[in-house]
Amino acid sequence: MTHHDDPVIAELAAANPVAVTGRPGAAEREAATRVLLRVLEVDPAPPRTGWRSSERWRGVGQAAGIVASALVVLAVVAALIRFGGTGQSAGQASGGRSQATLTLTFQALPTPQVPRITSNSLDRVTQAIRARLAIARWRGSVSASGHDRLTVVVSGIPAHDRAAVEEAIGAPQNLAFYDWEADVLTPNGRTVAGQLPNQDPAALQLSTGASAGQPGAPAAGGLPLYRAVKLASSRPAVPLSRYISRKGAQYYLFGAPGSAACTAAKADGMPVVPGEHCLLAGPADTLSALDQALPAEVSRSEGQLLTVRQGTVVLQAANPTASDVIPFTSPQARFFVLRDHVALFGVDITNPVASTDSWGSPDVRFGFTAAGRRAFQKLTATIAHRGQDVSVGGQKLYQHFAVAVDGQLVTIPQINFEQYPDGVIGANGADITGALTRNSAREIAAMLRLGALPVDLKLISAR
Amino acid sequence: MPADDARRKEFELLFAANHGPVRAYVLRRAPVVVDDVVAETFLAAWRRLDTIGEDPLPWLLGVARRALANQLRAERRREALTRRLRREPVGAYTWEPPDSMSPALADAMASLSWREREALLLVAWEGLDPARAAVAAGCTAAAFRVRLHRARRRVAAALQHGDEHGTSTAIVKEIR
Repeated sequence: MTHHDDPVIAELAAANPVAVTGRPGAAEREAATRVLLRVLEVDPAPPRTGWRSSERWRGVGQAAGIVASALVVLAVVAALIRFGGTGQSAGQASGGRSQATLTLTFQALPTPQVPRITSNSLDRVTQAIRARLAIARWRGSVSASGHDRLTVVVSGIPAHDRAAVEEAIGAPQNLAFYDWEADVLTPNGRTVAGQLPNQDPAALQLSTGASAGQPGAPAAGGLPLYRAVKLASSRPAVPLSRYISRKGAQYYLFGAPGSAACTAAKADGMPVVPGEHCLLAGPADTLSALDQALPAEVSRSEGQLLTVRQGTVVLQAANPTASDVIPFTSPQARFFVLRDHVALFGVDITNPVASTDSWGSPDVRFGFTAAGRRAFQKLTATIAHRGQDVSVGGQKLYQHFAVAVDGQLVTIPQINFEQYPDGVIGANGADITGALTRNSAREIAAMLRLGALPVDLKLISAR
Repeated sequence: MPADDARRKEFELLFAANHGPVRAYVLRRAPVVVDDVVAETFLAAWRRLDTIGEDPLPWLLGVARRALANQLRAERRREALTRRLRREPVGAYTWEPPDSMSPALADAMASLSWREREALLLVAWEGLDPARAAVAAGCTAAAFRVRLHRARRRVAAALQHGDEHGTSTAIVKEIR
């Protein structure tokens, strides 16, 4: 990491009052001579401290070896104490409670991104499910059988949690990387990137985040759900391709302000803001699913049906912090409309972990598959080039990519086109830092891990 | 070569390689006492030459920091400011921002504890990475990273570069 990665360090470095140049000038040489003579004059022959550097380092190495050995012994002893020295596992040691075992069998189904199920894609799914089990702290095993079957055995699950476990393990967890400015739409239905050269105020707000300071935040140009869905529903359908995250349309039903349907929705527990359209049901992938989600005694004809066609997505704004989670139905929730043109999917990401960067700031690190690395470089190069193009007259308009998981923005990192004029190569992976707390870094890493399910899973049996 | 000559040669090599950065370190913080502090620093190095490791600069800067604090404390004592300085921890020196620093940045830096301020300056001005800067600051690398992160966050907030999360904008970096 260089100074220029961090605005505070860069600003301080620019204010450095004494730059060290390669060759000392006459004044510095004179000062050096003066100091050297002074030192040697004060103490021409100091006593030796009697320990040569090489001996000292050898001593440190031996000490470190002793400490390391002690740590190993301590760890072994601690494990013996914890589990009673009987050799039983941690899970068995918790004994006494009933430990139901759930066996789930899934069939892996192709997606536009993974059109054929291979042993490699099954391996990726297996790893992703193991990560889910680990995150949820569930004990279990995953194994592949046949050319498209997976068996997941989870133990210690209370009966009332079984449905949640089934859903959590098999949920698609759609993870997508978008080119933010190229895909996000202003209220006039045009992309931000297309309007930045004209300094369109709405485009600038979405790109810079304006007073929110971070694009993709609720206050950074996000729309209430009705307005966002209305805007999204005005877009035509786009043919299915490998870049699309959602196959088919998505349906929403809204009630008119003050309508009987909104009153019924409120009685059903849905938040309703006076004077605004209320959400009656949705998003749903089919009309029948939409009907099933309607409030009691409300029919579809009582609301306004809005259809978001294939090729457009409505994404909820990023949560302000990891602990400040705004529910989808909250009146405070805000949304952005994007072209559904995904640059990277979960299948392209490997090993996401929360960490700290070399300056001690929380970060999220992840690697790529070979195809993912190429896609990430292409994405970030496009973003960096656009940043150069739209930054004119001393104004730097850094551009961004957006990471979304299951319909919500997670983070919108910027690409510094001065540092990465041709994008981030990502040979050793990439690192998202800044605007993160330790909790939010952990949260994002967990979401990236959950989102790495490359194919659809159909639950065949649960016993 | 006699042992004392070899020792002196070794010291001169160390001095030649590090005098510039040590002098710059002191000049950046207290130009008026630069010769005294640099001399005291290298005198310590001369006396403890055998114990200095293969990367002497962080060690030398740590000595310079303490020498600087002692020098300034002596100066201030003469100026009857002893009482205030006595409350400052050992190793601290009084912060005086350079003219090259904007008022906003100078105010932000002045709001930090001396440890936090020194953490930022070791990185931004001396160009040390956190592991080496920790040696100069006299703490563990882990403690230094925490100190540095906290300092950056506070300055960023003061400069409105950031908010409670540190820098307000997420950025992406290559992993090297």
